[in-house]
Amino acid sequence: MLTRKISTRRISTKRKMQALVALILSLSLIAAACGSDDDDDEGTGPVEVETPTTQAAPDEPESSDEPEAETPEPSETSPPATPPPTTTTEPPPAAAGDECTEALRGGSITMGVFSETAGLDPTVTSGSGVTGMIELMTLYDVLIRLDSDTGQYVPHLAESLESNDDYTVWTLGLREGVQFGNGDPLDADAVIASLNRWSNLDASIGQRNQSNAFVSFITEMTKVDDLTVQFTLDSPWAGFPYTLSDEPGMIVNVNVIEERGGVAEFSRNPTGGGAGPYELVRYAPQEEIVVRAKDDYWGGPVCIEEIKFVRVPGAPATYDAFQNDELQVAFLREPRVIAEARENGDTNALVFLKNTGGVVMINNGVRGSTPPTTDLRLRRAIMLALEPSVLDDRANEGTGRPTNALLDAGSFYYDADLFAQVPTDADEAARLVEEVKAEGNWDGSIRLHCHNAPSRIDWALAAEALLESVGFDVEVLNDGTILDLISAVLVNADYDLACWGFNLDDETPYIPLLQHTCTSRSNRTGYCDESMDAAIAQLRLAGNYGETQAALAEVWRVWQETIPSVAYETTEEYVVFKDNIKGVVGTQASGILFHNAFIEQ
Amino acid sequence: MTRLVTLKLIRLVPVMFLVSVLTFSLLEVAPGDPALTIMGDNPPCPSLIEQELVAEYGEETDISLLCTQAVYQSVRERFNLDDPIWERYLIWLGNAVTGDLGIRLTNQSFTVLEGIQQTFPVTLQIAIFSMGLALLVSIPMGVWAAFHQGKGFDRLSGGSSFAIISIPSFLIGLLLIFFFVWRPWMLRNVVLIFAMIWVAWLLWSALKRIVSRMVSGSEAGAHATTDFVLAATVALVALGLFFWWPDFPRQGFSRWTSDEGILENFRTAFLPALTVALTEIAVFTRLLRSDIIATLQEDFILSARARGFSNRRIMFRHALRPSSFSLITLAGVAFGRALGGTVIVETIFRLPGMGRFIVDQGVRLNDYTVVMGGVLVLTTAVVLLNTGVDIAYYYLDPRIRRGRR
Repeated sequence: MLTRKISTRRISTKRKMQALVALILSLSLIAAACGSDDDDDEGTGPVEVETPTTQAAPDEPESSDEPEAETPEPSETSPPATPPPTTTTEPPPAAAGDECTEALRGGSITMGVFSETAGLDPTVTSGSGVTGMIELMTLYDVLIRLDSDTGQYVPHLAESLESNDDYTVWTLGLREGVQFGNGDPLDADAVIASLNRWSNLDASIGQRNQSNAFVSFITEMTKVDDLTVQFTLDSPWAGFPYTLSDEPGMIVNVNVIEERGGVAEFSRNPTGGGAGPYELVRYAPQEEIVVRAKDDYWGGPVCIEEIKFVRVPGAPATYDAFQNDELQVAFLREPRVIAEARENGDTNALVFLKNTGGVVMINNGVRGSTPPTTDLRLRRAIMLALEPSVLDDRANEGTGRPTNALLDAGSFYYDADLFAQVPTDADEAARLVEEVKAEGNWDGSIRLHCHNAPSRIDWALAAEALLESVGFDVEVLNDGTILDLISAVLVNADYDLACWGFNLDDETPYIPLLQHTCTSRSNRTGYCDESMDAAIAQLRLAGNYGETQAALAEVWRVWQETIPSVAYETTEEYVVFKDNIKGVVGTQASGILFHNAFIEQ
Repeated sequence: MTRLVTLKLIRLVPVMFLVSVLTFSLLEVAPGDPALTIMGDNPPCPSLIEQELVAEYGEETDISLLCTQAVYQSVRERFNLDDPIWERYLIWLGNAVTGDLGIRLTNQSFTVLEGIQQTFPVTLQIAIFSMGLALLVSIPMGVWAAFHQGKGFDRLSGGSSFAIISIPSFLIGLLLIFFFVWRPWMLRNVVLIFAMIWVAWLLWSALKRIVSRMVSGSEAGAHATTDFVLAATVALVALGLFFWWPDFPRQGFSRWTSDEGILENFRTAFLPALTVALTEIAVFTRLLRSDIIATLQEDFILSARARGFSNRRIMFRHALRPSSFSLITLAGVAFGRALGGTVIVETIFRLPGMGRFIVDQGVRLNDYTVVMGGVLVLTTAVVLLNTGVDIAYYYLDPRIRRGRR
């Protein structure tokens, strides 16, 4: 009887347990099921930083009827082979049907950025769209922008920019009625005050933007009238518009910086301090930056109401999130993932190419050092030994853009005859190495500094094999982080070879090449050659396509003769958009302007 | 009781002190230099420094590296990085005891405390969710498996547990993403099929009971209604899930305080919490099962059975409580682990939690203020948690209470 009773109770317990398990399962899944499954319903983000300061009553956007800068819809376009003059003109008329209008307003997007910005003050970012420029452009706009279709610099926030004949004096015209977010006018005084900040950046408080190098070319800024500023340069420079299209061209209201109590506080909350199409809603490092469209933007209606910038660690995860519609824009820089995106038909994209994005930087005798690589024969041997396609196969599974030429085939200025790759020749490389060894002053050993990112480890392994195959005895130093590499190269100048990148943009090849001049402040290799100095000086003066291409060809000719470093790949940056996002404008240094973007219904 | 809590809290002080000393020392010997992180890979040369260098070395000298070194030195001086380690530690400690954990070296717009305030709630929520989920599932499973030792469910739960324990958490996370995000139809169909099998089994049992009651008047037939209700519930839930399967995000996190609300928060927290919880479910289930089986051999259980107590009462009132000490200890440890060790899960799901804060913003960037502040807070949380577990023993085990008296 007892047994039966227990058995019955056991059955009873069994039922209850079944019910309990079912209940738990049901509740947990129902709770999850109740969540919104509409990823497009972004709603409004939490306002955690500060609410926007009161703005002045919105004036009629002064320039709303003016022709807007051309706004090509994003498409997979490598920079065209038809190239550009570099001086500014009036902006070309907008192409009908691919610009934001009042009727197209609405919607929000999330963009997966490549890396987080160090702050929201242009002086504290590292520069370029890879490290915060895109976010900052929504807040500040830029005076000048690069038209990625034509390669021309065109006025954006500014109305005009003209130079004298020898490119030593540039006159900037500003639009009337443009205001900062707090209602202060963006006039000549504001431009001068903002640019003056760049003359004495303090790296110890995070102001490490390298664009101050361009501003340092300005010897004098003169206010001609309220809407006109004249810049006098220390020497002729046809590429000066680049300065005003980069971070220095993001005009900051210095009054707001003072109100906030300094750079640190402003950098976390620049509300009211910019004249861009968006105002900050929330800035939470490591989480998100949320900006919301202004109602009184000088350029007319801003269609996409809210943009959220997030960083998803790793290119594959970023693209996963894009495919799952959690991101509507993704910044990709990993060749394998870019290839996958193309294979999947995700080709509504902006493409930015960085010539010499991957180089073996060679110590040419920096700071009086005497590494073996001061010998030109060894530098030549390195160039002849490092087959770019082999390195690409190893590091990128053959999906990258291998080349040892100064310019990629997709560059504005590329010409197959002028910028042909140097064919590798292992036998000649081995002969040169043996010749130097035979002199008895060097045993073949050489150090290759790199860092411990997985793709760089693969790359270093391949580079080591190629160099050893021609007689070098390579010591690879890649167990540290990128900071250790920086320490070895920049602080201690204690290296022979280092994996590096020069990122020679088409829009301003002069700036990255400047480090190869004898007296440059950014010369990290000790390379010094009069012919190269002359070629780069010529590049600085180049005012049109033909002159720029000729100057670059001369740089490449001298480069092959003197071999300051050895390039092995072009870095490709691929910003992919959902098909219904139109009107996005790509600009220089992988920057993107969203002022005219809209979501097609 | 007050004395116990006070004593426990006093004991926290030396633990936290030792942890902070060790952490500070480890950071000192670790490779990397925070000054490099602060100044970046190509710091601008401030005009003041440039003028000084030109005045010292002349116009013709290449001052690029000299300037870099000058900037580097100025950064080290500003943050006292050249001071002796003990001196820097004491400065940090002095500030920390007043609640000032310093500014983040790599983003000086934010303090370390702000970073912790922003990230700790996320980690805490995931830890609470995952532990809640783990206990909610493992306790009934452990009890059930113990009660049916050696039978089908016990063998199934044992095998599943060992399989889950042997899978690393990052792989569990990726598998969950694969099935919940990329192949939800597979999971949806599997849930439906299992639910239908369960429903069929319940209906079959109910029919057997009805037949049994009709034939023999067995009292077991009284449970047929329960079976029908349960079958209907399971069928409804399964069909509901089949047609309205929740759409889980691949990554990201929505705070419960955000405009999206609490349900969106649950939606974004579910997969990360489940990733952490699955391993714990497996461990907790096996542990509880073993403890209950041991307890069921005790004389007082036999006595309870002899006195005619129901199985439910025996299991939950007599066996579960004395079997739960190991579970509580382990749950405390697991909770601490979930607080401090979910960096992989946070990275996979892009959660803005403490793990990523310490590793990405602190360790990777050599920002020692972030690491020190983060470790201090986590240490405090874990030590407090263990203190809570000790106090729980005090309530759960009369022998400990008596021992203290």
